[in-house]
Amino acid sequence: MNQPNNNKPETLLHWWLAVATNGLAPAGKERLTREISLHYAEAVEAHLAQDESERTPETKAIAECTVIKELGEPEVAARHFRKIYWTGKETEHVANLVKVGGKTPILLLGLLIPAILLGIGLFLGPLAAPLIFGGLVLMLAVCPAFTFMLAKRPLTKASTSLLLLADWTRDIALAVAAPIMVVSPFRNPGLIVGIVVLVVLVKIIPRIRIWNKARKMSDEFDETTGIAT
Amino acid sequence: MYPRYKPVMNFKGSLTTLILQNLKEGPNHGYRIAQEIKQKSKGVLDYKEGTLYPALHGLENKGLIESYTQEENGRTRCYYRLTKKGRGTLAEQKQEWARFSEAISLVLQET
Repeated sequence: MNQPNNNKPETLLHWWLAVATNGLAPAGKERLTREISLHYAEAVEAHLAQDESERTPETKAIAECTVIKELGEPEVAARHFRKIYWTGKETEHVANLVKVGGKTPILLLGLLIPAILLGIGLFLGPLAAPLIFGGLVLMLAVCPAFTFMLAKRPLTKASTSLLLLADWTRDIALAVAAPIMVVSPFRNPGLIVGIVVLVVLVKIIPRIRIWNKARKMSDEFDETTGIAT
Repeated sequence: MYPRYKPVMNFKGSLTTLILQNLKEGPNHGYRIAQEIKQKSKGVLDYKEGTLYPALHGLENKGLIESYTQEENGRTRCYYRLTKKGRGTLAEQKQEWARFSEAISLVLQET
């Protein structure tokens, strides 16, 4: 457990909030700080009112320490908070999707990559190359282009989910379909299975949480990112 | 043969029902919600803020409750109130809880 630098109660609340909201995006952090600070002040007041002895800095300090204890472990709170609020990295990821993913050169690259891979595939001779080429064009260029056209700004939960889907299809297409284009899956099934497992572990699983959060968001926007919070 | 029953309620998930029930009595803020749940349960249900606020904000995201701010003694306080959708959900969850607790009681009953 992280230890506070000193024992001043005010610093204790700041420390608790800093640990509990560590890594959260500004909107969530600001809201939690505001509500828990008020909660804390009210709880301290209630403790002082219960205590019949005279109010001194010591009794106030005891009340504040008691309330901090009642707030619970900040690390446990942080785990709960991260399940429901965007973290800074997640909002950055979604913001980057909008900033970079929707640009024309990137969408055109989605056509160029399959074309290059088709050339390599045909040169090496796998039979399924033209079919996979069609799939790749669909996943790298057509789907993302439609998604970015449909996604409304600021980003609602539906738009964010769509963008994440487009991002996933791109990753899957690049990481799975591209090797299939150049290496026949029938000759190297182990390699293809390995690549699929790797993509799922590295790319898909970490983003399931973002996807899940996007589904649960309200449609109020973080002014700094334009993403629903 | 009993009809197949998929339980959707458990002890861990009961906080949202308790919050909805508390807000059924009128708008309230986080601290008071926690205090009232604690008092009514005679101190047994003492939810930490790390659990309470994500639950409140999660319910808000689902549209079951809504928040608004109000000035009080020079402080801007965040109040929560039940929505129409929240009322419906509360009624369903109460029924579900009655069914769940009855089932547990039946199992625990000494013969």
